[in-house]
Amino acid sequence: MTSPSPPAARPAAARTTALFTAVLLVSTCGLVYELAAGALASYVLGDSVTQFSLVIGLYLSAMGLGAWLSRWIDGQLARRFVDLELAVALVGGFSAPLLFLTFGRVAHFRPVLFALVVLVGTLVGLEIPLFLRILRQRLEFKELVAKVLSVDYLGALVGSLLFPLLLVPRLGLVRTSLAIGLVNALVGLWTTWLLAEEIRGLPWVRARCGAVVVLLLLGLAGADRLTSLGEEALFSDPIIYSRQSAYQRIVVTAGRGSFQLFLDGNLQFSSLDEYRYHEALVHPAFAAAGRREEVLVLGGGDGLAVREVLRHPEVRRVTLVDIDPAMTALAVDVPMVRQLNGGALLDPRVQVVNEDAMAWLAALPPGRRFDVVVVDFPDPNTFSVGKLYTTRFYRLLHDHLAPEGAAAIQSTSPLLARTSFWCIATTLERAGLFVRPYHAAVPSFGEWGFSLVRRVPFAVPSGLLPGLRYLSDAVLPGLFEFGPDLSRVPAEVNRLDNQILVHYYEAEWRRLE
Amino acid sequence: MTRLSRRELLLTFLGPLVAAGCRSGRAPALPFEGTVAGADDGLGHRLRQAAGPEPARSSRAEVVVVGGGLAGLSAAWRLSRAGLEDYRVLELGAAPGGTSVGGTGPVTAFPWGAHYLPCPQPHARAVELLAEELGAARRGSDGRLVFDEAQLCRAPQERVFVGDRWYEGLYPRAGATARDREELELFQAEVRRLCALRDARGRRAFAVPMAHGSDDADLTALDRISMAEWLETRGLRGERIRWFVEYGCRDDYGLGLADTSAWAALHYHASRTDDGGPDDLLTWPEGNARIVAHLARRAGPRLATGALVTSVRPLARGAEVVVAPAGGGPAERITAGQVVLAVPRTVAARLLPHPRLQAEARAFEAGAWLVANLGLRRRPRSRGFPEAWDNVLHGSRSLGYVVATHQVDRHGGPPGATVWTWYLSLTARDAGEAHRWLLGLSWREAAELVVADLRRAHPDIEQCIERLDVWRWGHAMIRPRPGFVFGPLRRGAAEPLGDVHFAHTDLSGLPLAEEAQWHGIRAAEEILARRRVRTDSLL
Ligand SMILES: Cc1cc2nc3c(=O)[nH]c(=O)nc-3n(C[C@H](O)[C@H](O)[C@H](O)COP(=O)(O)OP(=O)(O)OC[C@H]3O[C@@H](n4cnc5c(N)ncnc54)[C@H](O)[C@@H]3O)c2cc1C
Repeated sequence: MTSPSPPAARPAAARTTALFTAVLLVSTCGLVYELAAGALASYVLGDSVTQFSLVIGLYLSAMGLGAWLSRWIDGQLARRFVDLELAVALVGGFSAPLLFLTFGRVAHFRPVLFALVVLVGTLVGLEIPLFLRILRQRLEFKELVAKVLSVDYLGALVGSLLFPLLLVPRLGLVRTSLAIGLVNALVGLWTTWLLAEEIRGLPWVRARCGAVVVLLLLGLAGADRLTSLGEEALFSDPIIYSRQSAYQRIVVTAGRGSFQLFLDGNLQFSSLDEYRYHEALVHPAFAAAGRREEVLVLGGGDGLAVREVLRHPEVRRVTLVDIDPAMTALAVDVPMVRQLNGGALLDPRVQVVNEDAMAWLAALPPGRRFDVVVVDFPDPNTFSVGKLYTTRFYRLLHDHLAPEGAAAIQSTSPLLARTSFWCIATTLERAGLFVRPYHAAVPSFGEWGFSLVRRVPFAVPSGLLPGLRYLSDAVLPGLFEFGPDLSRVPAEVNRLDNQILVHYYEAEWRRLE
Repeated sequence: MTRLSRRELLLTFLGPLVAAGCRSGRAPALPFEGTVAGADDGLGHRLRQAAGPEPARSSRAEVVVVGGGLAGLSAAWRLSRAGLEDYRVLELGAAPGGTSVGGTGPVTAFPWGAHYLPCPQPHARAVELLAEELGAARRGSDGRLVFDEAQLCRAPQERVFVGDRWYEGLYPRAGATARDREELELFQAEVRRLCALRDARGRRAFAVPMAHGSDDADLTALDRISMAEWLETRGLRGERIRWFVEYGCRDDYGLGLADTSAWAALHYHASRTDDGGPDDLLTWPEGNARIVAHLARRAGPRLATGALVTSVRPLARGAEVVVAPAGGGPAERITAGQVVLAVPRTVAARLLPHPRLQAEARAFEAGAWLVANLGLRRRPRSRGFPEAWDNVLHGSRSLGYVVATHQVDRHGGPPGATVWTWYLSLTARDAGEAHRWLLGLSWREAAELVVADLRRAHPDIEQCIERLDVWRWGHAMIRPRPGFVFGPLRRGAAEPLGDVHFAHTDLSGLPLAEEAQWHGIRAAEEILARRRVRTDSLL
C-alpha cells in the first residue's frame, strides 16, 4: 500500500470526514433494512409484538454473526468493503420487492422472510468491523472506536426517524428498500474514490458498482408494476400486498397493529373492527331463518363472512361464490388473512365457486334453495357491481331462497349514501321480498347498512347465537331503528337497464369529497 | 378505383379528424388476422350467369317465399300461424337473416348487421307477439307487456368520446356552450311535441310500423325537405346539434343531413315513445340474428339456404320460380299458387323484369356499409366514462362500436375478452361511387380504417385485437332521401303483380326490423285473403 503523499495532509482530514459520512449512511441503511423486515413481519404474520421482536432479534444476532465472520476477511480490505456494499445493496435493496412478490404466492412465506433477514443482517454485520480495520491506520484506536460507534448510533437514529416519517409514507415499502439499496451501492461507488489508491483493478470495481446502481434503478422503475407511487399515496398505511387480478386491484395495507383490505381502492375491512361488520351481516339472517343448513355466501371471498357462518353448528353446507379466484386464494394463502378468517375456506363444509354471481344464480336448477343467503358485494360504484343490486338479481335471489329462509344484503351506508341505501330496499321490495333494513356502527366504515329479507312478512328476529363480541339479543332491536338522519327517503327501483343506484351512489359519495 | 394513400383513405372514409391523427408513410404489419366477406357483391353477375339451361326438376308448393331475411321469414311465420304449411322459403345466403345475420366465435356470438329491436308500442301487435315468442316479454296483469330485464339493453346504453375521454350519453355535452345546450333543448322540445301529437284520426305523427302513423299532408310535407333544411329553418346551426342529429341519420339510414328526408330523420326520434324520452330496446349478443333464429326454427325444413332464385314469372294463375343451388348445380322450377318476393327492390326487378318494378328499382337507392367484428383478447385502455353498449366517437364518420358481451354475465373467453362490432355507413351522395369504394377496399385497408378510428379513444387497441373480420355491405339499406318515402314510386311498390306479392323493408323506405316484419305479414295476409283463409289481421 502506498502512503499518502505530504501535500495530501489536509485532504486526508477531509477524506476521513467523508469516510465517517459513509459510515453514517451505511448504518442508516442497516437500520432501515431492520425496520423494514420487522414491519413486514409484524404486518404479514400477525401477532405483531412477537413477530417484530423475533425479527429484530434475528437481525441483531445475524449482525453478530457477520461481525464474527469478518475475521476471515483479509487483505484488499477496501475492495472487499466495496463488494460488501454492493452485496448489501442487492440483497437488502431487493428484499422488500422479493418478499412482496412471494407473499401470497408461496406456501411458506415465513422461511423466506427469515432467510432474508439473516442474510441481510449478516452482511450488515460485516460492515462496521471492516470499516474499523480500514480506518485503523488513520486514527488512534480509542478515537476510532469512539467515533465510528457514535456515528453508527447516530445513523441508527437517522434511520429510525426517516423510516416512519419520510420513507414509508412517501415511497412505500418496496421503493424504500430499493432506494436504500441504492444508497448502499452509491456508498460503494464513492468508496472507490475515497480509497482509490487502496483498490486494485479500479475500473472493473467501478463497473460493478455501476451495474448494481443500474439494477436498482431498474428495480425502482419496475416497482411501478407492483405498486405505483400514486397508489402508495392513496393509503395511509404501507402497502404490503397488491395484485391486479382479472377483475380488480387487491391491496392489503398494514400498520399500527392492524391490517386492511382494499378492492379497487375501497376499504373492504379493517382487522380491528371487521368482526362488527361481519357479525351484523351474518347473524341476524341466521336468527330470522327457519332452517340453517344450506348456506350461500355471494361475494365475500375474504372468508370472513364464512367464518361467522361456520359458527352455527347446524350448518351443513356453505357455497361461496366470488368471481375473483385471486380473492379466494388470498383468503387461503395469505397467513394474516387466513388467521383472521380462521381458515374458513378450508373447512370441508365449504365449497368455493369462482364465477359471476348473477350468471351462477341464473344457471342454478330451479329447485335449488338456500336457507340462509349472505350477500356481501362491494359497494355499487361501478356498473359491473351495480348489476348485482338490481331487480333482476334480487328476483334470482328470491327464487333460490327457501320459503323459510332469510338473506342479508350489505347495503352501503344509510348515513353517507342514504338514497343509495333506500334504493336497495326499494329494489328488494320490487323483486317481491319483504325487507327489514338495519344498521350497525363499524368505526372504520362509519354507520353501515344492511337489508334483511325473507319471502314472507316477518318481525325483527331474536335468538342470536350467544357469545358474539358485538351483537346480543339486547342490542339487536336497536339496529332496526332508524333515526331522523337515516330514515327512509324515496328512491327509484334499480334495474339492469337503468342502473340508477350507481348514479345515486356516485352522486352521494362525490358530495362527500 | 385508383389506390388511395393511407391518408386519403382515412380522409375519404372517416373524415379529417381521424386522418389528422394518421402517421404518414407505410403502416407496419397488423398484429392480427381476419377475413373479408361481402354479401351481395356478385349477385347481378351470378343472376346473369345462372339464367342458363332449362331446369331439370320441377315441383309445386302453395306459396314460395323468395328471400329468407326478416321480411320473408315473417311472411312464413304468418302463413304458419294461419295453418298454411305448404310453403317454401328460398334463401340465397348460407344462413338465413339477410341484413340481420350474425356470426359466432369462441367468446361470443355477434351481429353483422341489425343489432337491436326497440320495445314495441302497444299498437305494434305483431312486434309485441314476436317479443313474447322470443321470451323477451310477457303480458302483465294490466294487459301491457312487461319486458324481460335481462334482454333489455343494460345501462349504460351509450357513451361518446369527445376530445380525450368518454362521456355518458350520445350528445357531446362536454365543452358545449350555453347556445349548444339551448339548441339541444329546442330540438328535444320539438321531438316531444311530435311524440305527443295525434292527428284527427287519433294516429301518432310518427309510428313504427309507419303504417300506423299519420299521413296528414303537413307531416308528409316534411318528406319534401332535407333534415339540413329543417334544422336551418329552426335556426339550429350549431356544430353539436347538427352532429347529434346527423349521427341519427348516418346510423339509421346511412345518409348525411343534407340527403336525409326531414320526415325520416324525425321519424327516428319521434316514433318510439310518448314523451320523447330515451326508448327501451331489446338486444342480444348476436343482435337481431336472435329473431332470425327464432323465425327460422318456426319455418323448419321449409327453409332452404344456399338457394339462388334466378327468375320469377307470373302466370295467368299463380307464378313460377326458378331456383338453383348457390354454389352451382341443376336448377329447379317451382310452380306456386302465390309468390312472396321478399328481396330488395333492385333484386326483385332483376328476377321479374316488369317495367313497373324496373322503374321503381331506379328510385330505390341503397347505401353501402362497412362492418367489422373485432375479437378482443382484453379490453384496451379507455379514459372517462366506462364502456357502454353503444360507443360513439364524436368527430369520426364511423358510427362507433357496440359490445357483444354487454348483455351477458358469462362468456366463453377470459374475463376481459369480447367482440366489438364497428359500423361505418358510407354517406357519399353518389351511392354508386360509395359502392365502388367499398368493393375496392382490401381487408388490410379496412382493418387499418378500423384501427385508425379506434386508436384515438383506445391507444393500445392494436395489441388487444385477436382477429378482425370485415363485411362489406354493397347494398346495405334503403336510403330515405327527400321525396322518396312519400313519393309515388315507393307508395305503389307494395302492390302485388298478379299472384306475386312483395315484402321487404325497402317498401317502407325505412330500413327497420319492424317494417320488414310488417311487410312480410302484410304480404302473407294478402295471400291468406285471396285463399279465403279466415283470420284476424295481426297488423
Ligand atoms: C349494417 C346494418 C345494420 C342494421 N341495423 C339495424 C338495427 O339495428 N335495427 C333494425 O331494425 N334494422 C337494422 N338494419 C336494417 C335491416 O335491414 C332490417 O332490420 C331487416 O333485416 C331487413 O330485412 P328484409 O328481410 O326486409 O331484407 P334483407 O335483410 O335484405 O333480406 C333479403 C333476403 O333476400 C335474400 N336474397 C336476395 N336475393 C336473392 C335471390 N336471388 N335468391 C334468394 N334469396 C335472395 C338475401 O340473401 C336476404 O337474406 C340494419 C341493416 C344493416 C345493413
